[in-house]
This record gives sequence, C-alpha cells and structure tokens, in this order.
Amino acid sequence: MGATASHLGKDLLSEYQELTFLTKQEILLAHKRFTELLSREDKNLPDPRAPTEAILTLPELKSNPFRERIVRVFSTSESRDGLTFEDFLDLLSAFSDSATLEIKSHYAFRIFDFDDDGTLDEHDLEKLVNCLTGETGDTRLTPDEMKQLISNILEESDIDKDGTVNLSEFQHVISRSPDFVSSFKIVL
Amino acid sequence: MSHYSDGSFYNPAYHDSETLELDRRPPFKPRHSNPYAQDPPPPWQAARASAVSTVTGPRADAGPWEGGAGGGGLRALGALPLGPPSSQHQDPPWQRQPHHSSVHVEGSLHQAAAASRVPATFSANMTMRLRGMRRMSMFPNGDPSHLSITEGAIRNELEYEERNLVKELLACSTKERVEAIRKLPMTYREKKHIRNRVLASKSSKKSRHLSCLADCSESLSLSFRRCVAGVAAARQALDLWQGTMKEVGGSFGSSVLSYFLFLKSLLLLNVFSFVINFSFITVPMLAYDHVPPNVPPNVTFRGLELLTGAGYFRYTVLYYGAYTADSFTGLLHYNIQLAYFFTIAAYMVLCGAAVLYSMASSFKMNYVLSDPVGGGSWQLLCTWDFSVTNEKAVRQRKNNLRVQLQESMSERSQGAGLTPAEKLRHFGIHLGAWFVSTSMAVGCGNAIYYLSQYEQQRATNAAADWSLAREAETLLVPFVVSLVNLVVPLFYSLFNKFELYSSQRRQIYALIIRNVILKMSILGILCYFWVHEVALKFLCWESMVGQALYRLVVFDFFFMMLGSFFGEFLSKVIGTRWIPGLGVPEFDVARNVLDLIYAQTLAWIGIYFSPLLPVLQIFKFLVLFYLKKPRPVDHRLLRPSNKFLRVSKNPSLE
Repeated sequence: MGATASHLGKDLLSEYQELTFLTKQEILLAHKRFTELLSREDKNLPDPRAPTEAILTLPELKSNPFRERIVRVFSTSESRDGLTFEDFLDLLSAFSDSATLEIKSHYAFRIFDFDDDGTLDEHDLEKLVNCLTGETGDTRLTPDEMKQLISNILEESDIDKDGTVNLSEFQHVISRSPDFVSSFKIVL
Repeated sequence: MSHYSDGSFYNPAYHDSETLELDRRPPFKPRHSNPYAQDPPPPWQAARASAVSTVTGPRADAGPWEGGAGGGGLRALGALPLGPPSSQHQDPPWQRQPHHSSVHVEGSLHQAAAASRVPATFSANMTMRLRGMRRMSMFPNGDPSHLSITEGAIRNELEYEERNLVKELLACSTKERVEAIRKLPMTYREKKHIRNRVLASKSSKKSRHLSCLADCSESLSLSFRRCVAGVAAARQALDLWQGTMKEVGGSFGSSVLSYFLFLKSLLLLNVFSFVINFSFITVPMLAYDHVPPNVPPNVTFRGLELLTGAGYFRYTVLYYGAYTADSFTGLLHYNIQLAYFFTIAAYMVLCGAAVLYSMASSFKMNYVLSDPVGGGSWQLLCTWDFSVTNEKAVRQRKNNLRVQLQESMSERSQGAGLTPAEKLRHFGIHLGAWFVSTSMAVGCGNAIYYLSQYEQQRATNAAADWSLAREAETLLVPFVVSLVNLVVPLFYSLFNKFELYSSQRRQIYALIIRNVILKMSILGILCYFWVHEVALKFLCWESMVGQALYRLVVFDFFFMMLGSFFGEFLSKVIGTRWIPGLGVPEFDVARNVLDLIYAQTLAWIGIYFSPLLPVLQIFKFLVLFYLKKPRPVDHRLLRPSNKFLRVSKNPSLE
C-alpha cells in the first residue's frame, strides 16, 4: 500500500479520493477496518490481500445474501479469492452514496451473474431468486413457481427475446426502479 | 442522460441498440466462423464473437468479466464523442453518443473506431489470463497460430480503444476528467493506469505551450475543490447520532433510516435558525433594553404560559410585539426594524433554496418514466436492501420477499383483465372516496374557522379579564386542530382499505395527497382568519398570531407524542402480550414524514411573528427522535413495511 500498515500517506490518500467516490473520512475508516482483517504476517507485506473468510466476517457483509458474489466480483486475484485494499475501496466506492446509477447497475449485474458469462440466463435467475428467498427447503419456491417467476422476469426484461438478460436490458429495467440506488448501498 | 420534453430520459444503450429491431437470429451462434478453430469456440470467445460481429451495442456487453476488467459492459467507454465536450454537459462525452459498435476480431480490426465497448486496459489482463492455465483448458485442441492471432488482434483493438479514451480525457477540464474517471466501471488499478497516461500526455503537452493563465486557473480550481472536500469531511466528522443511524439502518432498512435522517436535518435547520435569530435580533434587543419589560402590574408568571404562550410571555422577546421600532444609537447604529425583517427574510430564502436544491438533486437521481410495469417481480428482486445487516431482519425480509413474489405471481395470473362493469365500480368507489375525503377536509376547515371566530368574540367581550379560565379557553382551537389532524387521517386509511388500487404506489400517493389537502386547508383557513379578522381587531395583532402559532406547535407536539404512545407503543404491547397474532404495526414512514413536514411548516409560518419559536422546535425534535427511535425488537414480530415505499433521499418530495 506504499505506507506503513497503520498510516496512509497523504499522496496516496488524495489519489484514493480522486479515483473513488469515497471521502477522506470513509477511506481512513476503510483502511482501519481492512488492517484489522489482516493476519499479523500479512500486515508487513507491501500489498496485502485479506482472505475471503476474513472479509466475510465484516458485520456489513456477514448477513448479506450476496456476500460471496460481492467478494468474487471485486477481487482482482487469479483465483478470485481475497481483496487487496484497492479492491476493498472499489467495493465501498461502488456501494457508496455518491456512486452513479451506471456504476451500481454495472456491478449489480456482475454480482447477479453467478456463472460469470456476461448474461443472466435461467440458471443465474434461479440462483438469484433462491438467494433472496431462502436456502432451506421449506422457504424456497416450488419448481413450478420458480419457472413461472423466471418466465415473468424474462417477459418483463428480455427485449431481444434471446432467453437471457444482458447488461443493457438489465440497466433499462433498473432505470425504471427509483429505489435501486438507495437500496444498493453498504456503508462502513 | 439527456431528457426528452415529456420528462422521460434517454438511455442511449437501449435506444441505440439494434436489438430493438428484433434480432431473430438464434442466440449465441458464432457469427463468424473462425477458420482456425478446430473445435467449437469456448464460451467466452463465442460470447465475444457474437458480441463482436453483430452490429449491436449491448451485445458487446456480453463479454466475459475476467481479469476484473469490467468486461465488455462499458457503456462508459463505448462511444467516442464526435464533438468537443462542452462544459454544459453533465455526462462524460462517451455516455451520450450513440453506440454503433462493429468490432470484428478478424478482418477489419480498426473499425473499432466507432465505439467498441470493450475496455482498453482489457489488454493487460487479457494477456495475463490468456497466458495462464485457463487458456490451455479453454483451448484444449487449439493450435498456437489461431491463439496468437486472436490474442494479438484483441490486444491491438484494446490498445486502440485505450488511446481514444485517453485522447478524450485529455480534452476535458480537470474536474470533468476526475468525474469521468471515477465513473468508469473498472478496477482501481486500471483507473489509475488511465489516469497516469492522461497526466503523462498532459504534462508532455504542457511543456510545449506554457500558459500561465491556464496554470493559475487550474491551481485555483484545485484548491477550491480541496476546500469543498475539507468542508464535507468536517461535516461528516461532526455527525450527530451516527451510531444510532447505522443501527436503525441495519435493522430496519433504508426507508426507516431516511425518516430519521430527515428528522436530523430538520433539527439542524432549526438550530441554525435559532442561532441567527438569537444573535441578530434578540441579543441586540436584550442588550439595549436596560429597563425590564413593560409588564402590567398584575401579570406574573404562571405555569400556564408554557402552554398558551400568552400572559407573561406576551411581553417578552418571544413575540414580535416586544421589539421596539427605534434604532439603537449606542456603540453602533443598529436599526432593529431592518435587522428583524432582513434576518427572517434571509432565513426563509435560504430554506427555500435548500429545499429546492435537495428536491432537484433527488429528482435527478430518482426520476422514473412512469409507473413501473405492474410493480413486477424484477423490481422486487433488484431492490434488495443491501444496508440491512441484522441477521434476523434479513431473514424476515427474505420471507416477505417470497410472499410478495408469490402474491404478485398469483395477481398476474388472475387479474389480467377487469370487466367494464368492474372498472366502473372501482372508478365509482374512487370518486366516492375522494369526494368524502375532500368534503371532510373542507368541513373541518369551516368548523375550525367558526370556532376561532367564536373564541375571538369571547375574548373581546372580556378583554381586560385575563383570568386563568379565560386563558385556558384559548387552548380550545389548537386542541381541536391537532385532534382533527390525528383522527381524520385514520378515516382516510380506512377508506384506503376499501378501495382497490392498481398499484401500491398509487395507493400511497392517494393517501398522502388526501392528508396534505386536509392539513393545508386547515392551515390556509387559519391564516385567512388571522389576516382578515385578527389583524383588523387588535393593534398588536402580530403578537396574537404568534401566540396562536405557539399554541399550535405545542399541541402538535403533545399529540405527536400521544400518537406515538398509543399508535406504536401500546399496539406493540397489545401485539406482543395480549393478542400475539396481531403482530407489531409497521413503522409508517410516509405518515411520519408528513407529520414532520407539517410541524416544520407551522414553525416557518410562525417565525416572523415569534422569532424564538425554533427553540421549541429543537426541543420537540430532540424528544421525538428519542421517542421514535425503534428499540431492537424481537424480529419475529416486526413486519417491515410491505408497501412499495419510495426510499427517496429527500422525503420532502412526498
């Protein structure tokens, strides 16, 4: 991180401010919380990477149904495991108050895209619905309901009728929902 | 996004995509056959290929996300502007232009000029990925020559894109550049890379033509921006009740949180108004007025003044009447008349400007074409509240969502079409409900008018006699007003239950509009009464009006507390101990926000007649905050509001 573990340099701080939507206060708080997640040895590395398990212990992410997807999407490592501080800032920036609708919808799409293929097909949608309605057997929707729901969703949003929802169609649907921007928010 | 004249906005990706002309070709078929491929191309390449060869903007978004490069879906990078960016435009140039991508991997690579959507710095990460193990698994039988062509071709095209992006950014001013780079959906490293490239070319350009003026203005704007950022940081540091807000947001979600944020901002507004009124008007008055207030001999402070605002208070600086019309000629020449008028006027103008500004900014963020398609399932899924952190609350919300989804699906399958007879019936019911509610509002207004007149007559009949009973009579009108404001909305909610609305949103708006009509009509009638009757009868009518408003504010406070006690606390007790099946009532954000707005409107009307009224408001809001703050209840019983509430940043829009 170009500085000691406990202190961010002024240049680095202003760079972070310039490239993300976060304020100085938020960046310093993020730094503090991030270093708490690191293990003792990792703290002395130049660009430490906090492991996924540690990140998932954050109270803001602990109960979030999409927590693993979030970490995967923002991770820049080869194995998509663990976040560097810059990834962490990216995450907070996309979920911050001042991020634009485009950024939020872009990352929302990537989070919902469970198989990382660039579109939301039926399997992605099914996983999405299961994520949001409950994992256990008695809280899930029945297979019939699921099929009906997915066909409703595709009917609403699939404009080119190819059976999947791509980014533009997703962003179009999102733009008609005024609650999205205020719901898609995580603040430390 | 640019706006149409009817107010809807232009989403370039949607309108300019050719997928609107129903692309009837089967999905995911590779549009071009790669003569070098020995087996079907891997999914990522098929997606890219199909993206690449169709002349469809959005299609190109179906690129893989690997390398954290943010994939193809970069509308932000998509189009290259065809003209120089001007400072009037809000969005960075590339978001405005139509996207006509026609990127071909093989063949005309450099047709990428017309806005491919692939990120420029894809190159670094793509090559990284391509060189990795993944490539081997993806191309099990691929031959190296094919791979190198693909890799080289992609890299060239991405490099070209990056160069164009950097060129565009160079043409922007610093502020636009910073905002534009922030909006790129890329990883941090890539944004930094782009920024460094832009800065490098900028400094090389600079060394060529030195412009002193440009330099000066740059540094000035930089220091200004730093100032603004510093102010924002300071404000954040002094944040009141931050811990509580986070707790409330974590357990109850963003809509309840927005109510408390609104309450906090109103409190701060009142503190500000108190400070300026006190310092500019009251302090000079107190400092000048060496003699004690000219109180008539038989009037002393009795406890009732706190309620009625009359009696002893009448002669204090609380009201307009106590301020002299002379100007002071002590150390400074201080004209208190002007000070009074201008302070209040400036405060009102500032308030008005602040409200308009926040309305405009939240409108920009939340504007929506029209009613979303039936409040469909997609909306339900996409508006999962990410700020809820309490585990039980999350589980509760999941349950609610499941129920809502099931309901919406059954509604869809049933209520496809209503018969004309039914439609007429619904329309008739709506009309009837509106008629009844408006007539109730008008009726209450009239009743209050006559009551005020009656009370006025009683007061003038025995003008000199300020006994306790006489003063207590003045409490009648505010009592009735607050009672009406409490009871009649309950009737409105009852009507709402009988009516059948096509969407939740319309239902909430109808309820809100009726409540607003009621409150505004009562206030309007009272104002009319004051201006036309009180002003003609009394010499110091401003003080009388000030007193009346004081009483209204006090009673509004009492009834709010009472309402909160009976409405929420008692129902909670009933719901938990006596009749568990009833559950805990939802926190009705809309109604509470409306109450806050009404209270603040009273204060704004009254500030001219009683400059120290904000003190009362501050006290009121503080108590209200701690009263309404939901304690972490047992989440089995708490039902977060099922309604489609606008989680709007600025509740004053409602």
